[in-house]
Amino acid sequence: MFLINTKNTKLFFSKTTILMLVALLFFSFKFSDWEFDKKYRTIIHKSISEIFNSNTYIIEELEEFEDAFYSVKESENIIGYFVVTKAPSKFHQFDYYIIFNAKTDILKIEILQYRENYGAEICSKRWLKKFISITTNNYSQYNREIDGISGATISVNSLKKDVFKLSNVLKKKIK
Amino acid sequence: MKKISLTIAVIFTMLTTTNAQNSAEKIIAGNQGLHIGGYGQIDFNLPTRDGTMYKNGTLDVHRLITFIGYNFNEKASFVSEIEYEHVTEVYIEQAFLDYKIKDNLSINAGLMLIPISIQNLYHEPPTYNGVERTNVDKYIVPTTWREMGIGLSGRSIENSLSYQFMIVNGFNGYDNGGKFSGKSGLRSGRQKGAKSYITFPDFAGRISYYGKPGLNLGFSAYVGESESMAYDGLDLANESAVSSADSTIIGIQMLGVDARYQKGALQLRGQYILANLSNTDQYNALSGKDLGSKMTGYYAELGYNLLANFNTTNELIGFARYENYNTHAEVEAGMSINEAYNRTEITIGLGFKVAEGAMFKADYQIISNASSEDLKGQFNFGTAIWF
Repeated sequence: MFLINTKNTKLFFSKTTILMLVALLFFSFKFSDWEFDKKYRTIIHKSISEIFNSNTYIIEELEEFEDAFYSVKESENIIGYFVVTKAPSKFHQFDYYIIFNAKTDILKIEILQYRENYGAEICSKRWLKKFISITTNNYSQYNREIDGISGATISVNSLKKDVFKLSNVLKKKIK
Repeated sequence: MKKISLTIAVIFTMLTTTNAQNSAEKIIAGNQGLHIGGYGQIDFNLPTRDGTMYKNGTLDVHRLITFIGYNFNEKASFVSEIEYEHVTEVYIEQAFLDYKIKDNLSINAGLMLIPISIQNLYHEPPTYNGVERTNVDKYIVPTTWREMGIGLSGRSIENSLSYQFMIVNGFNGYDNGGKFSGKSGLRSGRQKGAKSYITFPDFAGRISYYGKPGLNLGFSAYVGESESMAYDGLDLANESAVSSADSTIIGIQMLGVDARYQKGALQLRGQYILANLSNTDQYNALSGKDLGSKMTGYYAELGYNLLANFNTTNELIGFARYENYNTHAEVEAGMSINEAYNRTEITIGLGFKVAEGAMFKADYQIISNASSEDLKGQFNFGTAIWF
């Protein structure tokens, strides 16, 4: 186990390569490598502390998920969740994360790195705000609530589908 | 150890999951790998009767493109598009190496799209309304406009800006005769990367701004001179030969502004292109052509998804577009403007999207020009595919 202490927070790193391989055998590529990227760690932790208004939270990896889901806990109570993941753009992938509250409502989505030449419009924070508290029960309705972006069709659809899937994966496991 | 397990894991992932959405991506390992995609436009055009004269309709696999991309590593990738037009003509639309110098900044070299106009850059058929691309794009831009060069592309995410700048070879303006014309403008001068030659390099650039959600604005410019075979093997001491060769080139300054807006069911689109061509009087005198000294083109389009309030991901987009393109907006003294080159089209139609990247299209066009009161019509039907 490798621990990093940052002020009063603790990070639990993903366990062994074998565990990751087993997880990967199922569905998508579990993006636990984000924990090794200082820039990503900084961005994500800053968002978490701002959203939950806390410097004393702890994150805990949720091993049972195929994707890199974590719970955010304050004094043993779960106050939220987040997931760090990749989704495909035209022929690269972009890295992003979603923060949820304890009821699994989406609180924030941010793109960590966008690699494609086209479609960077999905990084726009104002556009990403459309996902906040969006209903993810029915795909048609959810799809209609998010405006498309001309010139970024592939990335928009990819993010929409991925967010819908991850939101429902979380809702299903938590309930 | 991690890299090996990652590779094995991703191969398993590839075999066991349908995670790749609508595209035919074949990801071999993480960010690396071969990607194959494509797009197609298949048309049926039926002109209406011209007075008492009947006209045959035409059916055409207008274009079929295979996209082949390869990611060598996190930083280097190759992008290519191979195009079949009208079944028998093979061209390359893009073929360039992209190298990420740093996050959000790349250098590109090879055959690239000139970054002007919406449809020149975003030319997959399901991304625009109407069976055919606009004639503003065909004659003024002239799409698909791609040439060889080297450039930078990048973005500033905080400022919601993307940009592209490149140095490229220009149009083939003169090769045993003039290539440009009053009717088609610069279109026949496109070199398309097929043994292109260069006399002088040209410059093209674009800035896109997407700060306001739903709105995408583009500003493009192209500056340079056309190329000419008359310079090849030219004896620079021979003043008359040099002067003659100088007459075979024209100066080109093109500006483009385009805007796209999307909100809910509503789509709005507009574009304005201005091309100033210099030295056209000498060019026309030498080549016997009737090239204008100024060309303009613009269109405004409104679209609405009629299925927006229904519980479906299908879309039925009704649209209307007005476009005007004039290859003789101005001419040099000594030549008269040909009013027939001042063309206007009104297009109204429908697009039925049945899946991401798959559409049926139908529209009717009313075609006219300033030289005559007559109106011509044309029905168009087609399929638009992108995967």
